[in-house]
Amino acid sequence: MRAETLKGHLDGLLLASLEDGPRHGYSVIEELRAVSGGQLDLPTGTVYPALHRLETAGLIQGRWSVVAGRRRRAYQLTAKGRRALSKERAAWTRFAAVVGSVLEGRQPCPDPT
Amino acid sequence: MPRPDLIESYLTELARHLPPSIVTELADGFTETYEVHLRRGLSGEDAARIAVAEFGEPTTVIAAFSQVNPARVAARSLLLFGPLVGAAWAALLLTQQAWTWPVAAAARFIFGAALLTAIVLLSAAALATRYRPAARSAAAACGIVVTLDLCLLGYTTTTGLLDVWPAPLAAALSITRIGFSLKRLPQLLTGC
Repeated sequence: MRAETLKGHLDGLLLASLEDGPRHGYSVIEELRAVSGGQLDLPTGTVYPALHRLETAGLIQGRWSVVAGRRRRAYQLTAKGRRALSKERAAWTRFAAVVGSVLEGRQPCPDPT
Repeated sequence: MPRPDLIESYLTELARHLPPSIVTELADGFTETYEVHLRRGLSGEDAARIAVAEFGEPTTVIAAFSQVNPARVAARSLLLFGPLVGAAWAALLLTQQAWTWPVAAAARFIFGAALLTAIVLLSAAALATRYRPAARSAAAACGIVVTLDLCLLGYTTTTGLLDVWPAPLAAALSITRIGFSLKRLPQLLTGC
C-alpha cells in the first residue's frame, strides 16, 4: 500500500502502533508491517519525521536509551495521544461504515449524532 | 558492527542539514534495518542498498523533517500570540503617556530595534524550509522576546505601574510568553 493512499491516516496508524508500549522508529515500521500482513510498508524516512511531528503535538513522548552500545530514541503514547487515538478510531469506524454502505449498496448506516 | 560506506555517506548528507540528535536517531534506525537484512541472509552490500532504498531519498527525509521542525511551530505560535501581548502593553503605554517617561532615547531605540529584529527572525523561522537556520532564528528570537518581556516587567514593577490597568493583564501575558519561550528554548538550541 502506497504512502499517499494512507494520507490522513498515518497519525492514527502510528499512534495505534504505540498503544501496547514504547517503540523506536524501526520497531514502529516493523509493527505496522507485521499487523497489516506486509500491506503497510511505509518509507522509513517519512515515519521518523511523522513521529517527531506527533511528539511536538504532545501526542507521544520520546526517550533516549542505550541499546547494544547505540543511542536509541523510543516513543510512547501520552494521555493526549491515547485520547487522540480513541477519536481517530471512532472517526475511522464511522467513515468506513458510510463509505462501505455507498460502495457496496448496503442500507445506509444510522448517524450516531 | 561498522556501518557500510553507502549508509555512512547517506548519514553524512543528513548531518549537513539536520541536528545531531535526529541523525543519531536515524543512524540507529539504519543500523537496525541493515542488521535485519543481514539476518535474512543478504550480503552486506545488498543489505545496505535495501536499507538506503527503504529510507528514501535524503532530500525527501530532510524536507520532511524541515516541515515538522518545532522551530517553525514555536515561531508561528509566538507570531500569533505577539499581537495580543503587544496590544496589552501598547494600551498601558498609551494610557500612561509613555512618551513622557524618563527613558533615554537610546533605550527606546534599542527596545524598538530589538522588537523589530525578533519579528523578522520569527517570520524567517516560520517560513524557513531549512531545519537548522529555522532553529537558529527561532532560538535567537525567543531570547530577544524573553529579554524584552523581562525589561517591560522590570520597568513596570520598579516604577509602581504594575497596579495600573491593563498592566496586570500585560504582565500576565508576558509571563505566559516567557514560560512558553523558555520551555521551547532547549529544544530549539538542540536543533541548531
